[in-house]
Amino acid sequence: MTDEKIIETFWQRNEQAIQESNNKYGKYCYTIANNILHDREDSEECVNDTWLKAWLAIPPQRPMKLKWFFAKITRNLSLNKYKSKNANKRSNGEVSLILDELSECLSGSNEVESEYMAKELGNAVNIFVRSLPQRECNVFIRRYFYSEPISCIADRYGLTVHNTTVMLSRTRKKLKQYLEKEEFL
Amino acid sequence: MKNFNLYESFSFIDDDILEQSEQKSKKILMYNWKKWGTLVACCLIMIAAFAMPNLPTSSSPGKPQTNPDGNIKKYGVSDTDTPQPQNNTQVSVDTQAGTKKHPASTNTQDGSKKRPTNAIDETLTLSEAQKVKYLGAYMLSKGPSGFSLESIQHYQDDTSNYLNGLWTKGEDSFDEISWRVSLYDETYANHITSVADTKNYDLSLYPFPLADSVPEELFGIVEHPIFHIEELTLDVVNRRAYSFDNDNDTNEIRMSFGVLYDDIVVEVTTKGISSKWLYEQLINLKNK
Repeated sequence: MTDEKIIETFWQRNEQAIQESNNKYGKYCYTIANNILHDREDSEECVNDTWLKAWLAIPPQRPMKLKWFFAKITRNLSLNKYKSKNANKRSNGEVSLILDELSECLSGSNEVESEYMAKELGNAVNIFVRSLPQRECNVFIRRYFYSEPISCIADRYGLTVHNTTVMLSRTRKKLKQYLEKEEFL
Repeated sequence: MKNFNLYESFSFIDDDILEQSEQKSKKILMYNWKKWGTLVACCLIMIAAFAMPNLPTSSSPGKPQTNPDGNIKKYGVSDTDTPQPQNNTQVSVDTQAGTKKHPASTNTQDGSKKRPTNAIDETLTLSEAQKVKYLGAYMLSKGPSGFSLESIQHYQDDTSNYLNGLWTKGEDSFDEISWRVSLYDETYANHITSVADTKNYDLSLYPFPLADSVPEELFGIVEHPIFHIEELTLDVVNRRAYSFDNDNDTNEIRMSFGVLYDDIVVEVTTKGISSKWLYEQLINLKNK
């Protein structure tokens, strides 16, 4: 079923929309969740919650691209679950490595938290990645949106692991400079 | 701001950026198609060969055939030929493994086919690599100043046999040399060009991105041409050199092409080395 038909089925409040979404994007969403959670049950739960969130959001929303709409919901749900499971301990796995990497962008800054800040930061990150050359942008997104292991990213784009690691390191430095310039740090 | 806030903020990335990141490297896509297509073709050939034992067989393992007078067959296209569109024959030198098709069977004395041995996939030292039969003599022996050997892989199975060496310039540098040595097989045929056919390899003719400027029927060969060593000149190497103004990668010149020495193909992909140095290394292999 095409995305347009799936969206239309949501609008008709026909539960077939959930089945079709799962058929088409279930594995994709599961991959996003599992990259973060590394737990089958939790990942499946996040995928199921994604359909619930979509059911509650459509209508009134009419997403332009269903795939990314679901991807972002799944990612947010997975991150929330990750936070709740790891609030008081340091976990192993890819997310732990990613958080260590991103801490390079924030070294030396004071803690500032606010919901207002989150959206502003998101907009700033958006502008930043758009300024990158395509390959560096793609590698950066695969790592920090999809939480993919570096070896998978290297395979995807025909790069060596060394090259990918160096590329990410340089891009993180650029991000830090950008965030300092925009006074987020 | 906690690092988790920054991690969460990536959820606001625009959809078109996510979509763009989904596309694999074109070279990888073509390579994967070619890899599986080659394996299927090899299986069919093996089945046909076992089912019909009286068919003529290859006379030597892993080496191209000779003419009746004993000379190695000359491969490639003439000066005036234009390669046919071959979207499925792209060979990537950036990948760490490959499946070049080459004659996988040997003849025994009674004429029956002998099955190939198990696959080899190993990391070698430089001295070990230089001893690999047929291929070792064409491996780069030393990188330019500042470069050190990172790894050399030797892969051999029923359909492939290659050495792949990587030299890098340290942890904080993107400069590198990938040097791959393989036996020639027919999958290379559509990449071979005469140096007289500059449209097949001269990057100064095509503004970047190549996907937009290079005619589709030439894309495979322009992206990865292979020259006969007898025709290789410094001018040809210079015509393969280009650079990007890129803060996230080296700004130095890059080059990518192959060279055919009788029945050996050396494929190079470089960042941050001079064309003169590269030309000298390739020419020095001429008399191996």
